[in-house]
Amino acid sequence: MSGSANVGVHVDHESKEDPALLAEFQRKIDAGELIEVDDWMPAAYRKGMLMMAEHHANSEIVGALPEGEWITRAPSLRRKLALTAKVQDEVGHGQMLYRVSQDLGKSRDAMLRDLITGKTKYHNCFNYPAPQWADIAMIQWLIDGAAIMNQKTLADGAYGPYVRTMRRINMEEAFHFKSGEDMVLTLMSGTKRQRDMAQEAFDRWWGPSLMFFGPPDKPNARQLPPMRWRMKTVTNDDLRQRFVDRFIPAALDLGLKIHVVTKDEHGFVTSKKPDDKIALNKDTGHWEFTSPDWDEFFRVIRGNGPCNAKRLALRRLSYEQGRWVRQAILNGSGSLPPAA
Amino acid sequence: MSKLREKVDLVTGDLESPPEEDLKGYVIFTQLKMGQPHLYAGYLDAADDDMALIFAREHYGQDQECVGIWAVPVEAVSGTDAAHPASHDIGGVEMYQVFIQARRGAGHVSAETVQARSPAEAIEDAQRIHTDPSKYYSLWVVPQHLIASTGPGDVIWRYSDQSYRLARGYSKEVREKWTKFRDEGSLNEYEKDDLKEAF
Repeated sequence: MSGSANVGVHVDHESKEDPALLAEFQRKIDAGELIEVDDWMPAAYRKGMLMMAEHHANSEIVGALPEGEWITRAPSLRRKLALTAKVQDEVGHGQMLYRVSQDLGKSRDAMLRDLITGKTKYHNCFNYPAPQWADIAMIQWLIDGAAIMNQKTLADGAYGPYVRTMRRINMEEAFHFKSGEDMVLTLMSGTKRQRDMAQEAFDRWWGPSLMFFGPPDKPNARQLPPMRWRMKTVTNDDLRQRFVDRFIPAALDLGLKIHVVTKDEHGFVTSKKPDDKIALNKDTGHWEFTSPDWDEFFRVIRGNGPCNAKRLALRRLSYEQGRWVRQAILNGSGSLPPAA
Repeated sequence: MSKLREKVDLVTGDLESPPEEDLKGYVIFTQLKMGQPHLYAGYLDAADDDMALIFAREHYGQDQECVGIWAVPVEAVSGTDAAHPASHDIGGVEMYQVFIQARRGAGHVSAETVQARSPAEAIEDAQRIHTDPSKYYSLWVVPQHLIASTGPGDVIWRYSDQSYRLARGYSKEVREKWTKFRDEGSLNEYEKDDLKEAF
């Protein structure tokens, strides 16, 4: 899932690199060539790609936490198998992306430690709760749907190892999205109680889905290094527009209502009103919508979202409790688990 | 979720566990049919060959039907690319597995084996076989005894029904369910953005 690794990637564009090498690097990128790990690259590019791949890897493994909570409570054996497989996929994506990051110069252990001590970030949307089964359905439909839109464009990027990983990840995302659609369609074809449950989950996830692509772009986004170096290929706002053009009409046809909501500190909706901006603009051919609450976005990024502490606490517990396992693996079978 | 996991308090400050060494990097190759070459699948980290093969079977062996897996420690790879410099140190004669990368950015594919006294010599031998440099982008060689491999009779791919973990296991049903809500035109437009599984 995840993606939107652009959040928080700030590349220092003060370049002190050799102009000839830099020109050749830019030429390769403009010619559509892939940059490989052993190619010369500007220090700022290496740093930016590392931040991007690391953020993406972090998001994959933290993203598995809200979904993992629901494996034991899945409503049927098939759903349980599918959710287990999806969570396994996400953790696998994390493994692949940590590998890409390691090759850019940071150890995996350092990345895991930075994640759980809050030095690095993961995707904001995983700081929201998934209190109902319908949330799992909406995550797989909306958030994985958003991730696919983003990752399809990231697979057109310039950094070879990341691009190849993205292509592989996208193939697995196809299943995540289809099973998500199936769950949403099942709920919306069901009883009033099921439809209400889906609507409530949709109300919780619509905002985070819009925020998924990151904050509004700076006017010169296309000239800044992340796009000039094809670390990303489409602006946040363009991706968001593609997303709403696909999902607004689909949601409306399903009978879902799109609301502007306010939430409490636990991420639960406290009030809602119809988003009266929702309309197809016949002139542009694009759907219009109310922008999400960007104050909330930045508040959550700074660590003050509904589930930030909960996600990190669980990651930290796993890391500390898993120490003897890692030691046993590294040192042979001599190490025993700590007494309970 | 267990109540216990719900109630984990966030501990702040330094971690109790000391920093650790990373595990070893491995390159994984999968063989889709008997007698066919092994194809680059991806990388993973593992403590040793056994763990690498276990991870590889779960991670790369379940994407598509496959009959064999090779796990190659990254440090055992020598190549014509700058990332894997080849040692010239002469040792005993041994067999090297050659891997060919057809074009820049493509995955390596296993080719023939050569006998040589050093990785650099093995690369020279491989280059004598692959004389046309326009036909490939880079070459790798790996001492054959360092390749961890699944056994010939090992069952890697699970032949039980796995449609629950494939998009095509849902496509038809999903399309049928959609038709209750949407006309064919808007459904076709919507499905244009679907990703296809194409391993």
